Amino acid sequence: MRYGMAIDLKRCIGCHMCSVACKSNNNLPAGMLWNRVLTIGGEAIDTASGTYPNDLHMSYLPVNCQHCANPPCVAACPTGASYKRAEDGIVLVDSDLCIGCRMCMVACPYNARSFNWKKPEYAVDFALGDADAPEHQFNVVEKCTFCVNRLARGEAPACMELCSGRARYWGDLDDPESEVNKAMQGRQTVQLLEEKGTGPAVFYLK
Amino acid sequence: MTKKEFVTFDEDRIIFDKKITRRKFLKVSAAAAAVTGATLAVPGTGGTVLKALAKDEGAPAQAVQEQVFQGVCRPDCGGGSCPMNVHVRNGKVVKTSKIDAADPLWTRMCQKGMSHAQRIYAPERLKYPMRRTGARGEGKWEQITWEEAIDEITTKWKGYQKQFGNSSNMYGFGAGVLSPEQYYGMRLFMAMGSSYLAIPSDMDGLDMAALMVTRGQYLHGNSGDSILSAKNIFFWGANATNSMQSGWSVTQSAIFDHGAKAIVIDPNYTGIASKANKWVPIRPGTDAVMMMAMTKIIIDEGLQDTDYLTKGTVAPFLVKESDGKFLRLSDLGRAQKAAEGSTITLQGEASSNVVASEGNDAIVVRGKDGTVDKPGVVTDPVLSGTFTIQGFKVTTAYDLLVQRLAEYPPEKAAEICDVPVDTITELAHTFVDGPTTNFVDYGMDHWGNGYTGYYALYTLMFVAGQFGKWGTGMYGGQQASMGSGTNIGAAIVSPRTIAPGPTIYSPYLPDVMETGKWDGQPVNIKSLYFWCTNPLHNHTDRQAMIKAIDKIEFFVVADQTMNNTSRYADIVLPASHWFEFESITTMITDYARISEKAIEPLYESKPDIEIANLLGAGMGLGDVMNMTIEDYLTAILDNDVAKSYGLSLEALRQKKNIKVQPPRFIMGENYTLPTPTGRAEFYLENIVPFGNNGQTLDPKLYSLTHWVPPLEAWHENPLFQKYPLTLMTHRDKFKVHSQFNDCSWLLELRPEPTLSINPVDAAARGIKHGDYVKVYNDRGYVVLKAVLHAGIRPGVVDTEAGWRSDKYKAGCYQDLTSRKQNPWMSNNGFFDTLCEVTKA
Repeated sequence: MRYGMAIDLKRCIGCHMCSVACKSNNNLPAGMLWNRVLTIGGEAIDTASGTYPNDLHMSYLPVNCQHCANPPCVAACPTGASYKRAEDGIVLVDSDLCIGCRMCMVACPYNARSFNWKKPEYAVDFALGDADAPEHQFNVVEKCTFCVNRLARGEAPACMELCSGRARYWGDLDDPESEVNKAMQGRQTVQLLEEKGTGPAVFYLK
Repeated sequence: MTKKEFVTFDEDRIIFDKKITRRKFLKVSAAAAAVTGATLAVPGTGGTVLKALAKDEGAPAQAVQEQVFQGVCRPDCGGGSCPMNVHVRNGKVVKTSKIDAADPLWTRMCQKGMSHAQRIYAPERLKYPMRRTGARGEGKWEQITWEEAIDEITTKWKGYQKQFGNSSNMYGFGAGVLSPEQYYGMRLFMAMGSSYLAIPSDMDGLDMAALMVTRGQYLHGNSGDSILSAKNIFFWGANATNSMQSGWSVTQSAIFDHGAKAIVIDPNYTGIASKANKWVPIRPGTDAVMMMAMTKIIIDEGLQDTDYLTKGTVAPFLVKESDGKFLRLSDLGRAQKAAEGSTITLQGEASSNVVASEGNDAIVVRGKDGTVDKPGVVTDPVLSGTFTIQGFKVTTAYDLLVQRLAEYPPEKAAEICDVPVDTITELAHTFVDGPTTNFVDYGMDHWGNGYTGYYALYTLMFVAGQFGKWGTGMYGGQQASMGSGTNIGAAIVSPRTIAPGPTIYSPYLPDVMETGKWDGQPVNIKSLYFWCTNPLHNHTDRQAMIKAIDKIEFFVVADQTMNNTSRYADIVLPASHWFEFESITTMITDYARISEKAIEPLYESKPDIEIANLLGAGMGLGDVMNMTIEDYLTAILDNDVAKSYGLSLEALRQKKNIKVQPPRFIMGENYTLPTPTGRAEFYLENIVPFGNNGQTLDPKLYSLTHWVPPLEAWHENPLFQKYPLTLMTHRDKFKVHSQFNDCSWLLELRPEPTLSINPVDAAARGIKHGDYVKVYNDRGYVVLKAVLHAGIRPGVVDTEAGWRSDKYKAGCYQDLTSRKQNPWMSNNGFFDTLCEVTKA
């Protein structure tokens, strides 16, 4: 099986519900996002490019780790810390093996990885989110895990739990009956930087 | 860069610690869950569950007890009252998560609701009662006990009562908490005979609905799923993706799953505009003109719904030329004259509806054969004509409407609205080819002439027959979705018979404090108490409001946080967060819900109801202010409507959510409405100011749809030469009014206030993307970061509403906004503001 997701760009409203759900469930430290929502348009969030009123462009693009079929981060990792799970295609970082060299961050064309430049800081002095949320450590690279802890108990990733625009679909890409595959049926799909041959597991519906 | 280059000794130690204590969470989690058979919270069950937490590789999994409660987020976002799981570990809220609705389309929660754990433990939380030690607003405080606070407050209040009369104490509250608990404080101040400061934040749509269709102020559309049957959805100045995000799941389904055509009328290219089939950029403050032109086109082309006009509206009623009132049987000597007038209360409760009554002194219509009698007797009333009946010269209300619409031909509308005639015509044709739903969300209200948009929109709906049917009517922040069942009547809020003080409308407060008069009568306000409201943030013309409050001797605020208003108080009282006590909500969605107590009140905070009782005891009103929260919730649910839904506090505790809306409710179905005439009233007989401070109104103008220009932000205003830009604001997707300012997750996504400006306007002022700019007018200024946004209409600048003033480099956007009032409806016209922008 291979886990993957589809995101309907027609429906995404850029609310960042997915970003915050990720942040909350994974108890991400201050300043870290595993799931970003980019505005395609002007230079700032929620702004349009073009000319008023007849030539305006503003849309949203949620980006998390693409859990590539051929992950350049894994290839770049000198210690084997970045690896791809054979059983479901999820790309993970083994924090024990990570030496903080950040070669993977250079290799990742999606800017999907974060680095703990200092001891992680939080708004409150106790852990928020899921009880089994990952711990975050200084000098370690981390990123979206497709919420492996939630998957282990049969739940979907946090960002999939509730999308305001009902734009996100999840499931096994190898199963034609999965929600993610059904969502893609009859729709034009795009993968980010397809030409690089990374084979992302995240599909965008146009 | 190698590790060595940035690792310090201390950090090395951390790494060392890490080596011996960390867990391999990624590899272990699946195995741990399998081994321990861990279960997790099933959303909505609210039970205690166990979680397995893998600590160390090889170490036995430690069980952490997690409790899950149902909390209801209720900041008056307009579409919310979202129930959510509140997850508690070790006595602390660690997470909030969605609760599945029966219909998954209605499962709702947003990024703000996800952030409650941060809000609850925010450093800005008020921890204990405090007394000001520095100047007002300086931020210097001393901690005092609850006993000291209550004693000081009530001693002062009693002193003012004795010296200056009961009305010298004034109170105000808002929708900072949209649940019944917000009203309990009224009981105290009604018992004290205090003055009431009504804060009409954006009430024009609600006030117009109360006059024209009436079902209580907060509900004048169909059930929430009506929109799924709409062929067209007109979004009037409503950025539905941002400001009604909680309801967006349903709205987007109407568009993307059911194929509704989305038409957005907005000066700016917004989120919803980017999703729409058609975006119609319009000159700000002119929506009513375009609506009236559309109505005229529909009538001129004979597309009006004659059946609905005849049976469901006041169209066939005969208006007397002499006094503008409808001709009644008593005019013709065929009945006793009925008592005049009716009242509309501020409560949006079903129990306060004006009862429609034809009575004996019925309004009459004229049949084609000339018979003049009640509509039930005359079955074929005429819609048009001027007649003389027993000496009264009368004209049908419909003809008067047609005459009024003649003032707004499409060509004139095109000029005023800056929308081509062809577009207006196309919109009229689309609108009448329904079902057409109108999505509004308080955007039009944010103008000094805001009511004109709603007057014209309802009239358009009635004429086009896009009302009283499934898939039509009003939607958005003003849909009918408060089945309610609560009765917060006089027995609750004023059990003690004592003359109330005057109701003063807040935009007039600076004038009242200057002149010492309201509606010509002397008033002498000495103290002010606020709860559930933050007017020094959310009110227009903030500096004028501050000056007004400076003239009030004693100012007390109860709130959860140190915000713009509480910072300015003489004494602050810490109110509890919503998840720290039990309450219910009945508003906005089709459900009544319980909000369970998940944790003890933090620090020394108390729920507003308990604070009101303490103040009551201090005032010697312990016999009145004696309801516990449980007593209060039980009492307001003790009514027949609640019983018909099986709704009670006990039932809510069991079931948590109870549907309190009949399925497929249609506002105005079967041609009936709870208005005084029982019909849709596009012609209003009684024109009375909301907030009467001596204004005079021309009934000829106000009795029918019309338009007046914005009170300030208008290019023909001489002030426009000095301040050529209109300052608009929008709901920030990371805030609700002034709430959620303290959630760091949300602050990371939008770290500081911004001013969106069209690149053309920016270039003319030498402003580059990212520059700090000063926005100013004669009332005040604000300094914030400029961002270029091509979707902003040239001549308009736009900023997020909701930032606490200390987040700006200097000033506050609300220092610029205008509190100019139209004479009819008191309102906060936030957008009706001219300004200029320069590099800071």
